[in-house]
Amino acid sequence: MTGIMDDFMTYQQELVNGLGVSISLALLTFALGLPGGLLLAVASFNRAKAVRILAVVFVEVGRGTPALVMLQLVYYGLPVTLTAFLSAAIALSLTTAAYTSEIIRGGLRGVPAGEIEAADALGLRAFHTMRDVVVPQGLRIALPPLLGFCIIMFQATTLAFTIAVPELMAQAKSIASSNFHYFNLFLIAGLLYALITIPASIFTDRVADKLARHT
Amino acid sequence: MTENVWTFVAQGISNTIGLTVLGFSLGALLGIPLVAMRFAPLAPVRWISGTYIQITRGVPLVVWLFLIYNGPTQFDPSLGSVFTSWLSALLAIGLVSGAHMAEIYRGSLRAVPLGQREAGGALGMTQVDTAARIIAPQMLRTAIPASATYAIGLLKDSSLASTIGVFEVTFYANTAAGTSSSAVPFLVAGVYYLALTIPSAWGARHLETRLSRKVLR
Repeated sequence: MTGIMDDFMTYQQELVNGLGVSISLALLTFALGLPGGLLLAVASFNRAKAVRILAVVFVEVGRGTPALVMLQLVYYGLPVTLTAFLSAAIALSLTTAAYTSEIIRGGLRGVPAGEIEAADALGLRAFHTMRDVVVPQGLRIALPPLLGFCIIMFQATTLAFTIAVPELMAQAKSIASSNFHYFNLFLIAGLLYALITIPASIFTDRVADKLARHT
Repeated sequence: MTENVWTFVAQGISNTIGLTVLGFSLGALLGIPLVAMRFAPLAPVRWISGTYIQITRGVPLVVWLFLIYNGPTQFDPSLGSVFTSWLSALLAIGLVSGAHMAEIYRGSLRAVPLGQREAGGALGMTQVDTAARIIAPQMLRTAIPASATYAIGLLKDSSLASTIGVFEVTFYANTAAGTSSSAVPFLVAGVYYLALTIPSAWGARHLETRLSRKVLR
């Protein structure tokens, strides 16, 4: 036990920096992926069949491909040279957009039909009905599962170590391979991840309870 | 190379499927005592299972993989031959999916109305009979679709096992990409994963409609 504490104290700087990279990677992923998910969800209600089909194909491919494969594809496959960090963010946001579009779509469909009829009766155009009536209420319904998915995506940032992004897992791995304290370092990494994900999931449950109470 | 990339990467399919099926089975079994503990009359028992579930789900699968695969060698290097990459991957996937399955069981248990249990009791059925013949069949109806969705997710998560050297689809794709220095093998891997997940998703959806056919809502 003291060994674990010692390792943490010795390598605190690297590990905390790694966690910082993990968090910023996750935040960039959300910033790119969540609007993408909303866009895909709205597109799946579009009147033009071609748009709907395009959205469905994107979602199915995005959800059917493992995030790890997506990561390698973006990193090695794109003709432009991007930093590992940016490639990881792009790959993870593609996955995020595909998954969250389904969550958001469920939320949008959960908006009562009466709301849309009322908007129609008031003479709102389809665009305004979507933007001002359906999306705000639908996102509210989708909020708890979206938060839950964000926690999963934060965990998925560990995959970035495979393309040498210096996030927490990569740091733990490189330290462990120099001092052979594999158990200690992976345990510390796991605890640091849990330090964020467990409070986050408790917070998500709270939000879900609160929203359920008001509807 | 372009032609045999397909056959080369295909070598990993059996390991991908094997790891998913065995890991999922392990998790489905482990989930049963975990969910039973969640409803135990003794508070500390409930607490242990709740903490286990929170921690296993809160720590990324990659960390579990490396903790189980490399961790033991810190204490005794010869343990490396006990925790092979295949066994470590199986254990890590089983551990994590056990926690997820326990949550799925819990959700489906909550979906069965309390009145069903009370009715069983009122009819003079024993608690075991009520659980096995009234509650369990109704639980399955919601648990099976949710488990199927989870299993399909697990198929994709099994790709992480390549990071500790399990010879599955992503591992072969990685090897091929390394020797040919192109991203095509990953495209091939993506196609194989799609070919495995999309029919499974159709099957799951079909199963769901079949299971809910005779239920009035």
